[in-house]
Amino acid sequence: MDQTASGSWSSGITPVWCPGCGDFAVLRALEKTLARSGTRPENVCWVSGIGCACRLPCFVRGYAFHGVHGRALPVATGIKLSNPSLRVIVTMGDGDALSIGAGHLPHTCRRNPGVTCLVIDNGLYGMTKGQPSPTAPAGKTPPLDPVAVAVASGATFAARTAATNAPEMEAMFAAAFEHRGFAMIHVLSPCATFGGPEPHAALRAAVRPLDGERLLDRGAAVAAALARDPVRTGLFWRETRPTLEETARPAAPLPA
Amino acid sequence: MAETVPDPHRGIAIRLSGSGGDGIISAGEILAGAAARAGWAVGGWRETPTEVSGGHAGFTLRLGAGRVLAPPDRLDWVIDLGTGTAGRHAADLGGSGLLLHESGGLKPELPGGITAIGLPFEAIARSETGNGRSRNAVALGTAAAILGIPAELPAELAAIRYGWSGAAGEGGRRALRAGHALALERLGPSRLPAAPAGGAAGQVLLSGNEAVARGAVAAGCRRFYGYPITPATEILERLAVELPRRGGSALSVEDELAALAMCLGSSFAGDKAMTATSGPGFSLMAELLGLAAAAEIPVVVVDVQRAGPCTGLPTRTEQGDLLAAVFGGHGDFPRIVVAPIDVADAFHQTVHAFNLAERWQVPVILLSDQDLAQRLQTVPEPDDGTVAIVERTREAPGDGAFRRYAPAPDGVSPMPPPGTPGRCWRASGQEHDESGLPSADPENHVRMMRRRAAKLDGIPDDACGAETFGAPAAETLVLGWGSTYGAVREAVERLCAAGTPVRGIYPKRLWPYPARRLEPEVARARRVVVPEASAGGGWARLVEMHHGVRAIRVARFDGRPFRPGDLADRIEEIALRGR
Repeated sequence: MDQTASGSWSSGITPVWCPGCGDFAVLRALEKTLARSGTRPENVCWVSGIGCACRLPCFVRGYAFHGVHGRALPVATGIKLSNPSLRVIVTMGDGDALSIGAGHLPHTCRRNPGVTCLVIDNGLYGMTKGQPSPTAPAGKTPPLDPVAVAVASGATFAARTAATNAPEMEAMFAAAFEHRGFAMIHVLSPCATFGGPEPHAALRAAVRPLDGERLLDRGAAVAAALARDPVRTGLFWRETRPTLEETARPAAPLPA
Repeated sequence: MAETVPDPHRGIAIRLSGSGGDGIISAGEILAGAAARAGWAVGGWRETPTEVSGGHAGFTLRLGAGRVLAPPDRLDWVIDLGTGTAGRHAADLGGSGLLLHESGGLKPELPGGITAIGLPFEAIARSETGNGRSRNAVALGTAAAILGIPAELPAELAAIRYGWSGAAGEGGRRALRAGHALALERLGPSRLPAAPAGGAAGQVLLSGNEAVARGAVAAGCRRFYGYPITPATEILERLAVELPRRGGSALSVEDELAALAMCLGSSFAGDKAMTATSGPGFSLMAELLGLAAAAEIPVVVVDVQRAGPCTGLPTRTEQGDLLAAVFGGHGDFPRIVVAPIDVADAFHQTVHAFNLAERWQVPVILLSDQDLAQRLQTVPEPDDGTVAIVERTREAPGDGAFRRYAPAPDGVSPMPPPGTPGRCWRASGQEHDESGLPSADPENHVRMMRRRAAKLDGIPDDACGAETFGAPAAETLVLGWGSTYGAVREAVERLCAAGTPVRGIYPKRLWPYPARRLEPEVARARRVVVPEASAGGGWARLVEMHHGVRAIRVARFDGRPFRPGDLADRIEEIALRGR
């Protein structure tokens, strides 16, 4: 491991998030996991959409594509298909993943590109001052659960963790980096500004890690993902299947 | 029976007609291929119903001695397999054409003055194959005999197209030969001269969509993403075969938003990428066109226009998307719009589109339409080896932090792909500083807006590839774009030959508008005629905007392509009466 890989993953840019935002902890966990992985910055490509979580690529080293709202997954798919040797990491919010870009999540799960995808979820639209998102706790309409959607859509890796649990986050990110194929991690991240009183304490109280349940099929994994009070965290589903870059790139191209 | 011998210099025209699901269009395309092999220059226009099954389907084939530019004004023959609907062709047949209609089933109601013969296509199909559905093969044989083409030529092509093998294949062949023999027996030997020597020899029969796909391959396209949509789907289907053979890929994805976003990801990662769609998909792509321009990522977007608005007439032609291509999307951003004028040009304009995208790092929109995309024309074999290919600058020399959006005289800076050590950069649709980081600084925004806009200033107007024809000093100038070229050129040349001088000009790069190239032409003319398959007249508006003249519009927007005779009449009227 050389100096670049073991050194800081910070870009030197100070994050613009509100004080107390859960995304700081997500950023730290990512930096630590990457430093341990030995990856070089030029081989990492960050992809994001629009929202608080989508600023994250500015604060880390590597190549980055900060696109438009909802389209991070197809951008990441194009990058990975064109250069499978890159570690492609998507950081997007709940609006990106399950509202404006919801059409892409199931299809990305089906295609299985070798992309790590963090759905960093605060349950609201922070940048427009706190309107509820599709993952907001049940009110008039029931919320969408990204883990359940991913598992039901054929994802080969689906996990959930919380910004309030750094060791679990790092373990999930490390497992996702090791996974061959599409790895979706739902990261619950409290909003310090619009997330109500004591949002960190509330999140800690709302979640509990899966304790050794054996999720033998997708149905069981979906049921566990949909369970509430408490919301379960951990790895819900993992399997191996050929990746998009393996199936869509011919093994031996003819000379052009 | 019609006695006129069609003149190959005027063009010979035959239409196959029936219901959707009858196999009319496949039979027509096989006939076109057989005629091209026999040495004719060929043009073929399909009329596809929107329904998978049912509705009216037609295929009109025109043969010529030189090249076939446009659909025919009149038909010499119609073979109609439909029941009771044969009268629809009366106007196109005029007094001299011959209608061959299905003699079984309902007797067609025919207007007076039409020469018609009923032939038992379905009964022959049933006796040869045990199934009346093969009557399109019978009709194909009949059409070949009328055109003086031996039955073996279409039979060979039909065997490939329909996968004829075994007993079913034999049945198909018998049906085709029986149709051929029927025509010889009932109509006598073909009245056509042999195909002219050297006519289409060495040429290939391609559709506009196929030519675009071949152009993409020649330009070095590695990645294609698309969502199936009429009339653009053949580009996806062709590239799904061609790109994997060359180490690339073509994917059918969930929607047009994903298609263009994936193109941008692939292009960012260093590959040339393209998507193809029609108007409804192009509307969805508007936001991502702005992303391509803001992040300065080369990409080619093909819009095969169909009649709109909204779902419109999905299988019919129109040129209604021009202003959406030129001005669509929010905010001011640079883009280039090119429009091929015929099938041969579709290959070259696609290569050109990739070259412009790579050179200027902007989205390039290629505007085709249903008429051009699904038209068949004999064209010189496109030669991948002779086209000039432009590549983006990937190497960024110098030490220290890399600044992707650092000032450059022409607004274009090096674009190293991810994986290049020491050159990490951020592509961003948000306003950014020279390193790609978000910046809300007003002076930076002005600098970046100017940097992006300056790209279009660097593109010379002389390079718009304008095609000129007709009489150079004529007072009447016809200034058009895209697929109307063939019919307009034929009309203008007819008028010139008949003593009414008219000049025609068709630029192929429409935006940035080649004002400096066109201004002398417009200034010299006393009247400017703009033919356009559009009710709104987008091109006429651009012409008026840039030259301060009043364009005389000649519009057709019924979903059908212009015909040269109608155009010649209208342009002559304008040339003589000034309006």
